[in-house]
Amino acid sequence: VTETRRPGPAQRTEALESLLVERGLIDPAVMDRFITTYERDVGPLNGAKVVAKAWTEPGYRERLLAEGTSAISELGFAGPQGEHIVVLEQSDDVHHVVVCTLCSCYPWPVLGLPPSWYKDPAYRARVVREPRTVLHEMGLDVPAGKQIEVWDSSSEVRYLVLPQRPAGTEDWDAEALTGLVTRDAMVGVAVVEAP
Amino acid sequence: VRPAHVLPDTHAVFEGENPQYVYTVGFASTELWGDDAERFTLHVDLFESYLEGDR
Repeated sequence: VTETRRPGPAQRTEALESLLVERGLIDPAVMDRFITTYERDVGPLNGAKVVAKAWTEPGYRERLLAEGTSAISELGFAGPQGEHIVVLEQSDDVHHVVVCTLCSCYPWPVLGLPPSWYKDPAYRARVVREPRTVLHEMGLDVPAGKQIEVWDSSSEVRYLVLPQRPAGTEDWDAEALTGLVTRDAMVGVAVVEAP
Repeated sequence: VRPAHVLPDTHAVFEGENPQYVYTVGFASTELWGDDAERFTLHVDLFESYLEGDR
């Protein structure tokens, strides 16, 4: 079969879905609920709240780094793809970046559904081969002296990056800080910047 | 060391859940890709049965 004649992922997914429904293995209403929940109600705002709380409450930050899943559930965020969340803290010396080389494992309860670039075979293959170059192409230049740590979500563990709090936000409260935190910074392909 | 997880290799083919400890192992990029590689560390979560003892 040549590449051009292979149906795309969307078509294949649709075919799979209709087969599963036809054979009574899944309930389409349940699937629709899942999709709307994660498209509408669960998104990176959850993760941003976790980050802002960690920035403003040292005790929470400690709990979050020690036991991510339970600290995150304190805010009411839990569920599928978030059973074992490990939080990685950015520092002056270390930059963390997360990938799922096998597919698109991603911490749903705090970030929602993964963006398309995260699922792209090019990102998945290249970020474990030349992360500094990939991050540069995505608009982030990691300082030469900073160690890069790449985390492949190859088991049930899901990773959330705790970005560095930008300078000049010392007086900001958690709510204002929440608005600064971006999804990309929580995957490690960007940093949080003060406006 | 991570908590024990169901091993997908056997679970997916109906050979049992086979729960095992998972270890996060860091590899130096040069160990994986050679001396010319960018310098970084790659962390991979590996099931116990993927690992072998120090020889």
